[in-house]
Amino acid sequence: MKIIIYLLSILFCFIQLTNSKDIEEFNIGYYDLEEDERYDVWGVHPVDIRSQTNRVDRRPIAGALLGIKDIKPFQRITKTKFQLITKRFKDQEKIEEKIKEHINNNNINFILLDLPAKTLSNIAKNLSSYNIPIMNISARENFLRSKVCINNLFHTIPSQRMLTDSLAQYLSDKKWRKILVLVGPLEEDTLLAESFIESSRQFGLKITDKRNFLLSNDPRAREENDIDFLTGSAKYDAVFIADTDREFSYRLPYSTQRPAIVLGSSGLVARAWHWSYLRHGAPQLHGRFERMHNRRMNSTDWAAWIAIKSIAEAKVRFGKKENFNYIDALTSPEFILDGYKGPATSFRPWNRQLRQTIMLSTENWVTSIAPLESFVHRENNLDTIGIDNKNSKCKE
Amino acid sequence: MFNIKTFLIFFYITNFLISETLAGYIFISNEGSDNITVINLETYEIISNIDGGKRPRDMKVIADKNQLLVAASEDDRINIIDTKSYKIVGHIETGDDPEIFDISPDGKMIVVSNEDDNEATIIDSSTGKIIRVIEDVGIEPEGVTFSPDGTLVYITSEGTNTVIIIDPWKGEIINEILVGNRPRRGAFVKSGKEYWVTNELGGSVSVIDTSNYEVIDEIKFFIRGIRDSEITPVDFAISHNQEFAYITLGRSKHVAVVDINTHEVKDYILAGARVWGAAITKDDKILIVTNGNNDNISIIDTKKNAAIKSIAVGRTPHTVRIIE
Repeated sequence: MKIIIYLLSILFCFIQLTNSKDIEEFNIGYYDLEEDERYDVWGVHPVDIRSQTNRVDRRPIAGALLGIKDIKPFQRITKTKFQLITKRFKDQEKIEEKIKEHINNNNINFILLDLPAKTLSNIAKNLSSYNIPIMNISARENFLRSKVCINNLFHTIPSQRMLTDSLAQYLSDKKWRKILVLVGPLEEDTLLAESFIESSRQFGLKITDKRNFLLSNDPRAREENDIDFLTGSAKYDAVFIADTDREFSYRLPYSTQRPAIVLGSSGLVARAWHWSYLRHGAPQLHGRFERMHNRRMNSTDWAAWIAIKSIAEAKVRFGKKENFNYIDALTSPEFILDGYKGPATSFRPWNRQLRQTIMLSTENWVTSIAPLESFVHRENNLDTIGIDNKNSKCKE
Repeated sequence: MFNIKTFLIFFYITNFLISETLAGYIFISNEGSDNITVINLETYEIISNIDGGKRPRDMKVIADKNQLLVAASEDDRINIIDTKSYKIVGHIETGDDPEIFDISPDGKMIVVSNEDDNEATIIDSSTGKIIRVIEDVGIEPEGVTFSPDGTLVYITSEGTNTVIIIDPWKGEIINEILVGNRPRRGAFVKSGKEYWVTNELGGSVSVIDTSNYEVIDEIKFFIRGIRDSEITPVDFAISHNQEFAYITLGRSKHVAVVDINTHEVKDYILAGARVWGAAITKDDKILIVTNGNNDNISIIDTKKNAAIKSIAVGRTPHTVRIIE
């Protein structure tokens, strides 16, 4: 009897040993900044800036953590253990070198970057010779998709252009074609307004005027800070406001001189994700996120979550093929990914942007999903929004 | 003098006549309006809208007990409805958010998928007690199907893109098979030799050989004038003569007719928006499908392969079952 137990325990140890040998470890590096104004005050309601109870951490690391939990069941079939190694840098000083060092020391195979566009672009250029995919999960700037062309740089967050195209499609569909554009003082505001103007050109909208606004109470600047002046003496069906900070745009809906809808940074907002969506399995994903983090999921959370998911999907679908590598797998025409928001998402081969539907939402409802039904594309309707291969410097 | 033989013959004849004259019923679970629509199978008139619990989804018929079991997702239970009185006569606790379930062929066991907890719950149907919970059956388990011999259960996992095969009697995971994207529902054909599974996002059906757990074929759908991304297969109705599988194709508004033996797609039938659940009559003449985004059902003549009637039901009809 003792011998049997002895033999069994040896056998058991052996099984354990071979099991642990079979499982390959896969390290995902996640890098962000302690001082990032995007998470500091931008978009936070002035009341919530001072609030002790309603100030929530909006960093997309939450989405990445859910992603890791969601892909754990893939371990059984891929024999790969996916783990997240995070590093928050204090500031941008020598960040390129620090990231390189971290990659080498921790055997990082895949990177998620939650960084402002310019920093991100510098780092990606620095890492372009590395054979590891880099996922941009939060920088929406168009130039990253049209001018910065790096083989291993992918974007899961929609570009500004995808967002403004989605709004332009909606306006065009409603035949609300005359638009007044209001632009804030930040460089980001100018870029956003430019993106919308390009979108209006593509979808046949007419910009009746473009005006600058300023967040102030100075009576001498009333042409720029008073909503009645800003929205008066012009003809429009809708007002597009480009306001990255958002404090000014909060007050615009229902205050325009003409009875017009407000969209852009306030009113109807184009987003990668909104908690109120009820179809395509969205409530299940959102429920998992809320249970894990006790807050609502936002666009960058979704982008981080799907970036993690893309790794497991690439491994599970293509891992057994000859000469497998992640970059080829992600850009393969056979690669599709469920984003829980309608048609399958996939990466555009020319600029590595994740094609996806966009939610056009108010504060508590998804009013419409872009692309709208009446806009069709010769290959994939999702390509009616965003920078098409003809307009991107990046080529396949 | 009482003659037992004469009595039995008389009994069988009258019984036969009665069952002939009894009309069949169609039951539709409406997940948006929390009720079940009962329709006369002959006249297609709505007989009643009955209470099914909160967010009723999958349903199964236990014919010999005159019972209809309904998964009430937001009540975390399966409600038992008496098909004669249309009343809820009991319920079975299932764990969180039951969506799809199946009953073993001998009627002894019920297996439920719990979408939010990534679990499968196994229930003794005679006592209604939970026997065990199998954890880690992939992200968002959905389709649950007993093998025809009742030994195994195949569960689809929407988030993991796999089919997980469990032995519910021992509570073990036997195998996991990678299929297409977002697998939804499964069906056994050819007396259990093949298991078919719909891939909602992949727009196809994967065919698994149940003897070696290998994917032996992928049935693709192409509909003229409809984008591939709009073809989202969900549910099956298998003809009783084992000739055809009718597969609802969601957003494309069509139902595919597939030859079970050759795996060839024979036809596409136009139904309604987000065509979802499906069921077929015993004589294989009438196919009924629910159109989730039209709040109606389509009655399809399988000889013509065309819809002959549509009936407005409750909000977001999910599953259809026929009692004959």
